[in-house]
This record gives sequence, C-alpha cells and structure tokens, in this order.
Amino acid sequence: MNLTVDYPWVLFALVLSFLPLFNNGVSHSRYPSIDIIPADTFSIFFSALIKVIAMAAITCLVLALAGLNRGKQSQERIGYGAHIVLLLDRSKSMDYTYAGKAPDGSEESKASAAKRLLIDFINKRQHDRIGVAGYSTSPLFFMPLTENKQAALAAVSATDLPALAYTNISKGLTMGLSFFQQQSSQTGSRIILMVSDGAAVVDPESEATIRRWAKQLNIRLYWIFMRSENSPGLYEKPEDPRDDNAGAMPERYLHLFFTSLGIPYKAYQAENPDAVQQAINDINKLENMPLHYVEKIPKQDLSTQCYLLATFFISLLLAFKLAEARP
Amino acid sequence: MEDNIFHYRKPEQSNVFPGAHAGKSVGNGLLFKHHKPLMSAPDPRHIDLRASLLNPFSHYQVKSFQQQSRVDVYLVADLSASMGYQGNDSKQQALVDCLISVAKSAHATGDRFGFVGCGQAIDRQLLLSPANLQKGRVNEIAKRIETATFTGQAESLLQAADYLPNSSSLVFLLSDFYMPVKMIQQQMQRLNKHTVIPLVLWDKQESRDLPNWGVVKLADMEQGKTRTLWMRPALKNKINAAFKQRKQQVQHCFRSFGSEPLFMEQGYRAEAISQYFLQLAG
Repeated sequence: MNLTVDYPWVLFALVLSFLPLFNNGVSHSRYPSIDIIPADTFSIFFSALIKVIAMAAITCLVLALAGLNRGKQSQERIGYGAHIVLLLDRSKSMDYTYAGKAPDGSEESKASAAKRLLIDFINKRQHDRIGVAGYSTSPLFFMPLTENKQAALAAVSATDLPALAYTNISKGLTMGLSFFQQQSSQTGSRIILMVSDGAAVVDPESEATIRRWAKQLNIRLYWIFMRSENSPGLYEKPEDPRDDNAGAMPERYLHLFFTSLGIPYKAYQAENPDAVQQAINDINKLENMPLHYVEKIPKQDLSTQCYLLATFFISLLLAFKLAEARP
Repeated sequence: MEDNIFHYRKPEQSNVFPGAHAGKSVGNGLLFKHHKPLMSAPDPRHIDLRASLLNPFSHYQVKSFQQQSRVDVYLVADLSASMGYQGNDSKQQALVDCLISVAKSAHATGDRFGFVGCGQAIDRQLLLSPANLQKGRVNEIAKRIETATFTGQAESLLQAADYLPNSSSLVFLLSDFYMPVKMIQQQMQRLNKHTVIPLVLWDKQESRDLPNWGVVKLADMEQGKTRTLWMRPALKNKINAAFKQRKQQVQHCFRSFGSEPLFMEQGYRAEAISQYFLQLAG
C-alpha cells in the first residue's frame, strides 16, 4: 500500500475529525441530576460508537476531498514464461501468399497468416512479457516488452497493413536485441521470435554488434522462415559452388550465421500455415522457465471509496439521529 | 385563592406570643392546665372556689390555662439550577406556588413568615428574615423568582440556618434533594432545633416518564456533564429502581433526624401539605 494524496493541504482539515469528541450531535435535554441514573455499559459503548463513526465519517470526507489514491506502484511477480520479442518481417513479399501471388481471397497472405497465428500464440502465453518490433527498409518499433496482452495483441494486429519495400534483417535484429538491453537483470528466458519470408545479407558492422549482444544478453533465437514456393530453403546447398555466397543465397547464409552465434537457435522452415503453427507449438512447449518481473500498477483513485464509506457512516449517524427520542 | 391555604401545626410550642398553636407556656387559653396559688398567679377572675375549699392550707387556687402560641414559619428554598427543571410541571412555578401558599397559610393562621432563598450565595433580595407579618414583600419575591434563571448549585443551603431564629420554628425545606446524602445530613444537623418539613420536589418526567425506546442525551443542569443513553425498557426499569432507591435513601436520612419528607411529584399542591400534617397528627 502506497497511499498518496493529490492536495496535501486539505489534510489540515483532519483536525475537524476531533470535533465529535466534544459533541456527539445528539440533541440534549436538560436534566436535574444525572448522578442518580445508573451506569449503563451499553449506552457508554453506544456513545463511544457514535463518536468513532462521526470521526470516521469526517476523516473519510477529508481524505476524499484531498484526493486519496493508491500511488503508482510496482509489484514483483513470478510466472512461468519468457520475455519474447516478436520480430516481424514487414517487407513487401509478406503481403503475398506462399505461392508468391497477391492474395485473392482463397489463400491468405503470409502476413495475415503470421498475424493470425501469432495472436493465437500470444493468447496462449499468459505469463509472458511480449514486445513487438518489425523491420523492413529500416527497423520499426511497435511495442516495448510489456505484460499487457491487449497492447501486444493490438501491435500484432497492426502488422498486416500493406508492407514496405525491403528486408533489412540486421537492423531489425539489432532493434529486437535492444529491447533486452533496457532490462537490468535477467529472469526467465529471453526469446527473439523472428518471422520472415526471406533473408538478407548481414553487413559486417551489424554482424559484430549482433554477435556481441546476442552473447551478452543470453538470447534464444527462433526463426520461422515462411518459405515461398520456389525460393531456396535454409538447408539447400547450391549445385554450383560459385553460387555459394551470401548474396546469392541469403537464407542459407543467415542460417549459418545464426548457428555460428553460439546461442540456442532453432529455425523452422514453414512452407504453409500449418507448419508455422507447428513451429509456434514447439516454442510454446520449450519456453516455460520461471519468470521474475516487476509489474507496474498505475495509480488508483480511492476518493470514490472514501465517499462511499463516508456516505455509509453518515447514513448510520442519520439513522441514530432519527432514533432519537424527542420529548 | 382560598384553596392555596393549608393547615399546619407544630407541637411543643414555647413561643410567648399568643397564636394558634398549642404551646407549653401558661396563660390565657381554653385548655385547663393546672391550679396555682393566687400569690403566684394573681388573677382573681380565675379563682376556683371549689379547689380553694379543698385545699388543705386554705390557699386560694387559681385556674391556669395553656396558652396558644404563635409560630415562626420559614420557607427555605433551594434555588440551584436543577430547580429550573421543566418536566411535566415546572419546578420553578412550583417554587413560586409554594412560596405564596406557605406565606398565605402562615398569615391565615396568624403566624409570622420568613423566606430564605439559597442559590450559589444567599441573595439579600430573596430574603425575608426575620419572619414578619407583612405580606407585601412576598409577592415581590415571588415575581423575582418567577423570572429568575437559576444557576449553579445550592451551596448556600448550609448557611440558611444562620438566617433562622434561635427559637424553634417551623421550617419548610423545599428542594429536589438531588445533592449527596451527606450534604442533606449536614443541613439537617444545622437545622436540628427547628421542626423541619422537607418538601421533596420531583417530577415524573425525570424517571417514570422517560421514553421507552430511543437515544436521549441528558445534560446535567448543575455540573454541565452529559450522558447519552440508549433507552430501552430494561434501562428504564433500572432508572426507576435507582429513583426508588434514592427515595428510600432520602426518607431514611430524614427519618433519622425525626422528620418525614413529603414527596411532591406533580408540582406543588397545598392539600398535600394539609394531608401531611393530618397524617402526622394521626
């Protein structure tokens, strides 16, 4: 509990809550000598009760006026799950179907298939913190790591808008890694789930950064490669050794690069939506480590509760007032 | 206002002035007391020839009679704040009624009347002492009391005895007697040479007529204290029992000084005092 008030100066009015100690508000009648009246425990208790209720009512009112709230606070939570950064390819090719055509209604585009499946995935992973990033010509920042599922779902839903031009995978990866850099301590596993349908050459400069960060930040990398028909696979070796270079076969070389990072890495070559589903199920099973994170709870206004309490107390007092015997 | 008058008597009167009460002094009267030699009672009108002849020393015998004597009647009234209580009947009004009634009765009987009003201090304006036969000031004091607002406790009640004569008088002591019993005892000790008639002015509103249910806050008129009570039949019974006990306490206290208190719970009524004296005689 971390209670704060909006207007601390109003709290000076709390002094008023001592008023009922001097007068309990029951209208009095004159009496010659109360010493003869025998002591009555119930009446003494009742008299004290009226005073306490009246003091509570005034206190509640003052606190409500002062704008009592439960200040913004953070709560430590432990769950089973992971920090997952979804890194989505937003290149033009994602807007096509697996067959490499523009979607005509009978087949969905890779982007919308990925979106649908990722939404499923997010819904299943209740305790994860999920961040969303994308990349195209340059990296796109969607959503930082958050435990708020609604926000993550909204970010993923936004990804099937018409995409941009190229695939700049190294910049995207750097951004995905940078999500974890803001975290001070590691709890749970850190996962980058990359969804793309193609690859690109990783330039040497980024390569060094990615290698360093991936090691440093203890990342697990999953790559769902949405392979279009007739495009080269991850494991294919070119028939002609002359074609065996990064420029001609970026997918193969990116896969080799990831393997060489020295981090847990798994690639899924998905040729249709069911294969993507398979990949996601795998991740679902694998990544369930204890996760320790701090949840931020926004400040909560308590003045309504205070007013309600005050109303309750005042109505009690009113009932007592109405129960007064008038001569 | 004939009905305002009550009849009273005081036994063992020794006042030399003739009046309406049977007394100890010998003089002119109707009640034969004894024979006296002519030498000691030189009143030849009352020579009893038969008794003179029967006297072995042949002395003239004179009949002597018991003389009816006059009594000083005092009203000592408690003028503390609690006497301003307004219940079913106003105690202040009862006080005024009592004052006028006692004064009238005293005058009707031919006795002298005095009044001592005891508030926090004895107010000279509310003092009629020594007792006299004039009626004028009584009305003035009555008017003054009627409009007065009583405050404080009757601390001067103990000094009232200083304003009473040395000879035995008939003292009506009017109060609600809510003071500690010890104070009543002190008061009675100071008044011991007088015949004291305690008039206890209570009101049913104080006990029996309290509400059965509900919240009441009673503010003490003298001490400024308040008590909040959650009235219910059980508590009311308790209060009634407490008042009954208080009545016994007061009665016991007065009886130990040889006077019977007269409880008046419905304002002042002169008949009640008449009846009181009749019962006392019977």
